[in-house]
This record gives sequence, structure tokens and C-alpha cells, in this order.
Amino acid sequence: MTFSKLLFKNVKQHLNESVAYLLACAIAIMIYFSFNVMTHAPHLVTLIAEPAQLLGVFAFAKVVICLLVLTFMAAANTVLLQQRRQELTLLKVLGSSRFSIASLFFLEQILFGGVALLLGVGLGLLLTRLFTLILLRFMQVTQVAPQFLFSWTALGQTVGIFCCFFLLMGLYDVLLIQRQPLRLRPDTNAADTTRWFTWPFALIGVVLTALGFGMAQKFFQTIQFYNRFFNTNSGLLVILASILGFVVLGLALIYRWSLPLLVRQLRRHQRWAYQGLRPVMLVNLRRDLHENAMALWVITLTIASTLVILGSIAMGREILQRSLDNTSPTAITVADDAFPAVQRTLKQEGIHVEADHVATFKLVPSAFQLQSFLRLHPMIETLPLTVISLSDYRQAQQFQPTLPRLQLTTGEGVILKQEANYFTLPLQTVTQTVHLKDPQVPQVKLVGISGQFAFGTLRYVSSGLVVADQTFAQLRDEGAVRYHALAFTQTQHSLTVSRQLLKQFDNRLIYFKATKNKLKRQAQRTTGAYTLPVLTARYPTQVSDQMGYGLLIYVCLFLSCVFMLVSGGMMLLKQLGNSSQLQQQYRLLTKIGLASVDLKKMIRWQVGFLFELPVLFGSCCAYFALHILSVLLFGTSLKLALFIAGGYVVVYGGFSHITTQLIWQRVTKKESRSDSFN
Amino acid sequence: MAFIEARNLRKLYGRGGNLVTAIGGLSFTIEAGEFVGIMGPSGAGKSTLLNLLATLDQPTSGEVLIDQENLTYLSKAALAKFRRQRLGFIFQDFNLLPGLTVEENIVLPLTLAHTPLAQIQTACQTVSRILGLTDLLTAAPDEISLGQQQRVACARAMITQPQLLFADEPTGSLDSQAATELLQYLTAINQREHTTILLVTHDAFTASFCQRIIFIKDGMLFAELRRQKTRAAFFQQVIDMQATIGGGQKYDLF
Ligand SMILES: Nc1ncnc2c1ncn2[C@@H]1O[C@H](COP(=O)(O)OP(=O)(O)OP(=O)(O)O)[C@@H](O)[C@H]1O
Ligand SMILES: [Mg+2]
Repeated sequence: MTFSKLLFKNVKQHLNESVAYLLACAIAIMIYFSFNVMTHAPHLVTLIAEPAQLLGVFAFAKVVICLLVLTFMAAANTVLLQQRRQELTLLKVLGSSRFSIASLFFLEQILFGGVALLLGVGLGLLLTRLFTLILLRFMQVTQVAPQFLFSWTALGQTVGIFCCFFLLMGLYDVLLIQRQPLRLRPDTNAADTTRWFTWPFALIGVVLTALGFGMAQKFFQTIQFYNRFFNTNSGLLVILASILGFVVLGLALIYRWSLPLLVRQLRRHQRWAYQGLRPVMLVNLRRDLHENAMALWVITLTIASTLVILGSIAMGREILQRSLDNTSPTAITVADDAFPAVQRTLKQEGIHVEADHVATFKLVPSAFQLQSFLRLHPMIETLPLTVISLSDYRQAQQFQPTLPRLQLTTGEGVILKQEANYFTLPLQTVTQTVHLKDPQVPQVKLVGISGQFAFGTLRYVSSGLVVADQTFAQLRDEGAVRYHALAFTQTQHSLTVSRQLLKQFDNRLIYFKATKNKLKRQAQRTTGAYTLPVLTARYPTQVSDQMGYGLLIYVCLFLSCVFMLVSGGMMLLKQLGNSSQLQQQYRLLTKIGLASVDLKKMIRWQVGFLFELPVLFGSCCAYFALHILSVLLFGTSLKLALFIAGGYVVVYGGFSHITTQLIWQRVTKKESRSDSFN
Repeated sequence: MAFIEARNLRKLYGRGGNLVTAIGGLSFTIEAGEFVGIMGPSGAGKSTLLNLLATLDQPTSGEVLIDQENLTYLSKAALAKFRRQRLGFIFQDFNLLPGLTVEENIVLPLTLAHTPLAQIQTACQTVSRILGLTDLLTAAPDEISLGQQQRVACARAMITQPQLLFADEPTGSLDSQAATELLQYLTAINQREHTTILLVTHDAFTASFCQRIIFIKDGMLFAELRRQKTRAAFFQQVIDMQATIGGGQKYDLF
């Protein structure tokens, strides 16, 4: 048989198991290529207000894809070669030199690489229009039609990089073959023995993980407890680090010790284990866990991190939305002195102003104490407070419906503070008061803290204070500013006008000089001055937020696609490697009267378990991580993370189905073949 | 009335030009409750015949009837059920599952049939006591000797108390004492429970426990011997027949 014939025969024979590998590579290449093409499309790049952002995100994504693909290829090749160890040994025994075997595998690798590249780039080219359409949808851009994109540089880059990868893999194969010991049979079962540390390790694994999850669930309480106990303020970091450490270590122990021990105990529990195929299934599960513990662990952690990243991006949407509402709640918010100019412009441009709310803000130096969940001792704030009257606050409720209702009597106040969730009122101090440096109103009784700012955060130099109208009237006027909040609907035209206005008042600020007892408005900046912006506009920020956000989501979705494929493909290959053992079981069990349907069911269970277990654990980890994030960032949306977790379940379900089919094919097919060669 | 009936069985192996005739037209009957031996030189087709009768393999042509039911027409599931419920098979190469313990291997046929645990436990105790496996139950098959493995294979085949027991060289790896014990046990269940036993062996001593022996050579029926008088006399007859056939062993004496 000539060399090329042998090569083709080889490729044909292993096509079955390599299909998963090939497809995963091809799709990764496709996504890489589509990202690459997008970064080289001039009209897409210029569309984005900050093209650097787009390029940066895509560059990062491409690096991640490359890393994923490389690890996948290396792992897959190791597994595939292990499976073909017998064939290799046979070739050696038959007298092929190591060199010719190595070059055979090298060429095979290159051949596969070529096919994967062709497939990937071809698909990428076909689907660019669709991908651009999706990207534009996500970015909520309507004025650009999706086009067929092509760029020679992108093509060259993709082909170049992946050619390098496949060459590398070819070399890696050669290296593996050189170091492969001669062996005719793969090693069989690991002994089912326990040692003295099996039980402790298994228990520690479960306890650590549970502890980590519990600490995450009761995050603030744990930090408080820690701070009290050790009398420090470092609780936040320490607790975060220990949760991470506990869960990561705990999961490793669970995969390596607890689950095998559980299987072992189940096996001993005859009432459960002596039924149908369970004895066989338990043995197989134990072996699978033993062989794949670390792979499962890594996959679990990666699933958890993708879910956390995507989930926090979904939270990011809410945070962006909230921060937009908080910074510029209406179309334009403008200080009193610039108001006539803005009004004129709007009139000229024919924009109808639907509402004009006016509010007065007074800046007063102050001192007050707050107790944070995250700190042991109360914080003493001495920054100036921006004070707003209750009636102005109520006015703002018309266009900021989420503002909480307040009831205040004279002499009472509510602090507005951005991280309001972290604070309780000081518990130790008897008098909960805000001390103001004002002759008329030296102090206000503190009755609450709120995280939402009437007229937007940017109207406040630091924290805010809402007081009853009477108290407000008594305060000195020197540090007073009036703001107009103008509302009009968003159209393409009003967006352009907003942009113009923003440019016109770009960087114009109102300065306040702090003296010992008061704050005074000032014409120019001096050192240590407090500032407020003259004008903020909602729509331009909103649009660029949407674009950046859509871009991020788009990239992350595709990245998680690549990850799902890559990890699923790897598990598939690993499990296919076990099919010779299953085949042995199949032959024997059918001889003693097992219906083959039952065995297929067992394989389905076994394979499904190994696929969905990491998803389950990963989702658990992600849930608690997102819980911590939502406590820290006040976002609460787990929707996207749930959606992606569902995606994992479905995709891995598909993978486990395919794996079952492939294993089944091998298990039943090889039997008939060996029939005639025995 | 015949319990097992083989009608002109033929089995060819291989494809295309190089066909091997493993069985070339065999017909015979076996009555219910009989204890029958099958002998013949290596490669004569004994294992193949047993596989055909046990429905583990399809004949190229010809039919097998068991209890007047034609196995050729049964579905795969029905065949599996037949093997599970009515047949015990002691394989020449034992066919133990490597990862399972001895006990798990023995009880496998019962768990497959979803037998209640209490029944499984008593059956397992009984059978392992008879075969002297009580101390080995927790061991793995690759940790015990060949003879012990063979006894495990026997235990697995007999635990369901099948109507039909096929044994392919069940004493091949046993010392003479263990072999005698096993054969006495087989004889006992044959007499007490009227189990029909079909036993393949090379060994005249083992064969002398049977009531009837079918000799095959090159896939064809060569001769048949029926036990009339004592076992010792029967043993001598078998030895003589083996000499006629050629290829058998002549060493094993009392
Ligand atoms: N799966 C198979 N494929 C091809 N040929 C086979 C197969 N099984 C058996 N044969 C052939 O059929 C013939 C009969 O084999 P069989 O195993 O039945 O012999 P046997 O009488 O059991 O021998 P032994 O006493 O050594 O066990 C032999 O020539 C063998 O080579
Ligand atoms: Mg044989």
C-alpha cells in the first residue's frame, strides 16, 4: 500500500470520531473570521462613536477564541492519539519507522486543518450578512443596511493564524508519537479502593463548597461577622477571596473524591444497586469520574465563568439604564444661566419641549455618620451636601417614577447616596443627625437613605439631602443653583440637536469655592473647587451606551458559542474513547439476555450525566457569584444568565445525544466485524 | 417429545472467497431433562453449535426449535428474553465483566430481570456456597485465579435456575476435585430440577457424567454414545471413541 493510500484510508476510518473535532474547529474559525471581517469593515467601524472600543472588544474576543481553540486542539489531539494507540503500536510492530508514522499523522493533521479552514472561512463568508444583521440589531442601529463584507487582510490573517495552529498541532502529534510507549491494550479499570484520606477529602470537598455557597448567599452578614470577629475592615476582600477559594477547591475535591465515594456507597447499597443495569452503570460512572475528574472540574469552572460574565453583562444593561436615568433623567438638563440659549436653539430647530421642571439646589458643608455593612466603624462624611426641597423632589417624581415617596416634617432629612444599599443609619449614635454649617439650620434629623437622585446625580456635588420646604427656605442662598429639566421625544433630529448642544456646552462647569463655613459660586476654577456640569443630554449617551452594550453582548454570545462547542466536542471525544469498554460489556450482556434497548438507555444516562453534571455545578456557582454581584451592584437581572444556562443544557443535551449515537454505532458495529475475524 | 431440535444446521464464516464451514448440516434432538455432552477435536465447531442453539448467533441455514418454538422467527427482544429467563450459559472464556466484583457478576442475570433483593441475596448465597465462592465475593475477577473465574462463570449461569444450561468446557480450568464437585452438582440439578444440560468438553472424565454424548468432527455428526452401565465403563467407551476421532486427549485417568 502506498503512503498516500494509507493516509486516505486512515482519514476515512477516523472521520467518524474526527467529525466533532473538525466541526468545532470549523465553527471557531468561522466566528474568528467573521469578527476579523467586521473589524476590517470601514463603514461599521466609523458607525461607532468610539471605534477604538469596537476594535478593542473584537481584538480581545479574537485572542480568547485563539486560546480556546488552541487548548481544544491540544486536548482533542491527545485524546484522539490515545484512542489510536493500538493502531500506532500495530504500525510500529509491522515495522514502520517512527519517522514515517509521524509524517503520516502530521499530514493527516494538515489535511484536517485544510478542510476545517475551508469550511470555516466558507461558512464565514456565506454568513457575514446574517452576522452583521445580528450585530446591527444588537447595537440598535437602523440607518445602515447589513452588507456582504469581505476583506483580503481579514482572510489572510485568519488563514495564516489557523494554518500556524494546525502546523503546531501536527508537530504536537509528532512529539506525542515520539514519546508514546509501546502498548497493545489500553489500561483497564482503576481499582475501587478507598484509603484513609478518602472520607475526609470527600467530606471536606462538600463542606467547603457548601460553606462557599452559604457565605455567598449571606454575603453582607458574613462580612459583618468577620469584621466584628477580627476587628478589621478588610472583610470584603477576605470573604470574596475565601468564597472563591472554597468553591474552586471544594469542587475539585468533590469531583475527585466525593462523587466517586458516593458512587461507591451507592454500589454497596444493594437495595438500590441490584436492579437492572445499575451495577454496570455504577462501575462505568466510577471509571469515568476517575478518568475525567480534572477535565470536568475545568469545564465546570469555565461554564461558571462564562455564565458569570454573561450574567454580569446582562446586569450591566440594567446598571447602564439606571445610571442613565440617574445622570440625565430627561432629554436635557441645563443650569439656569445657560437656559435662555438652549431654549432659543430648541425653538429654532423646531423641537417641541413637552415639560420644563425647575429645581433649586443649595450646597452646604456638612458632617454626618453612616454605618456601612462592609466596615466595622461608622464612616464620618464631611463633604458638602447638595440640598433639595421636598416639593422640588416631588416634582421630579413626575419624570422619575422610580423615586421613592418621602414624608418629611420640618427638621427632618433623607440622605441621597449612590451606594445606599451598603449603609444603615448609625446604630451606636443616639442622635442620628446631619450637622450642617448653616446658622439657621445647624442640624437635620436623619430619617432615611435613598439611592436615587431627583433631577439626576450630576446635579449633586457628592451626596444629596432632601429636606422639608420650610427647612430648605431657612438655608443660606449663596451656594444655590437652579436647573431646568427639559423633556422632548427622541427622534433623529432631536438626537442631532442634543449632540450639538452638548458640544456647545462641552466642558462648561459651574464652580464652587469652599470656605470654612460655606460654599460660594465662583466664575473660575480654583484649586479644591467643587463643580457641577452646565448641561447634560440624555439621548446621545443613551445611543452610544446601546451600541457599546449591543456590541459586547454580540461578542460574548458568540464567544460562549465557541466555548460550548469546544468543551462539548472535547467531552464527546473523551467519552468516545471509552467505547471499547462499553463494547465489551455489550457483547457480554447481550449473551446473558440483555435487551439492547436497555443498554442503549444506560449509555444515554451515563453520557448525559457526564455532560450535564458540569452544567449543573457551573450554574450553581454562577448563581451564587451573580448573587454577590447583584448585592454589590444592585442589579438583579439573572435573565440572560439563565438563558445561557438553558443554552448549555440544550447544547450539551445535543452533544450527549450525538455521543450516545456514535458510541452505540461503534458498540454494535464492531461486533459484527469481529465476527468474521475472531 | 424433543425439547431441543436442530434441523440441518449450517454455519459458514467469512466473506467472499474464503468461507469456513464451521457447521455443515447438523440435525439432532435432545429431550427435556437430558444431560448431553458434545465432544470433538478443537475447531470441530462445538462452540459454534452451542452459540447457535443459544441464539447468540444466526445459522446460515437450518432451524433451531426449542420447546417447539422456532427461534428463527423470534424478534431480537424475544430472543433476549428467552436467554434471560430460560437459558444459562457458561462461556469457554468466562466473559466476566472486569469492573464488577465477583458478587455483582454472579447476580447480574437476576438484576437484569428486576428480581427482588431478598431473592437475589438468598440465590447468591446458595450458589456461591455450592461453588465455594463465599470468600471471594468482594474480589474483582482479575484478582482471582482462572479456576475461580470459571466457578464464577458457572455461578452466574446457574443462579437463575434456568430450564436449559449450556456449558462450554466448564471444567477446563478446574482441578479434579473442583471439577468433580461441579459435575456432581450439575448432575444433581439435572436430576432434581430436570434441567436440560448441554456440555461441551474435551475431557473424557467430565464427559462420563453425561447420559449421552454427541461427537462431531469438521462440523458434521460423527457418532453418538449413550451411557448404559457404570460411569467407569462409559469413560472407557469415550476414550476409545476419542481415539477413533483423533485429536482428543488421552491422559486424564482416575
Ligand atoms: N467468529 C468467527 N469467525 C470466523 N471463523 C470462526 C469464528 N468462530 C469460529 N470460527 C471457525 O469455525 C470453526 C469452529 O470453531 P469453534 O469455535 O466452534 O470450534 P470448537 O469446536 O469450539 O473448538 P475448541 O475446542 O478449540 O473450542 C473453526 O474453524 C473456527 O476457526
Ligand atoms: Mg470452543
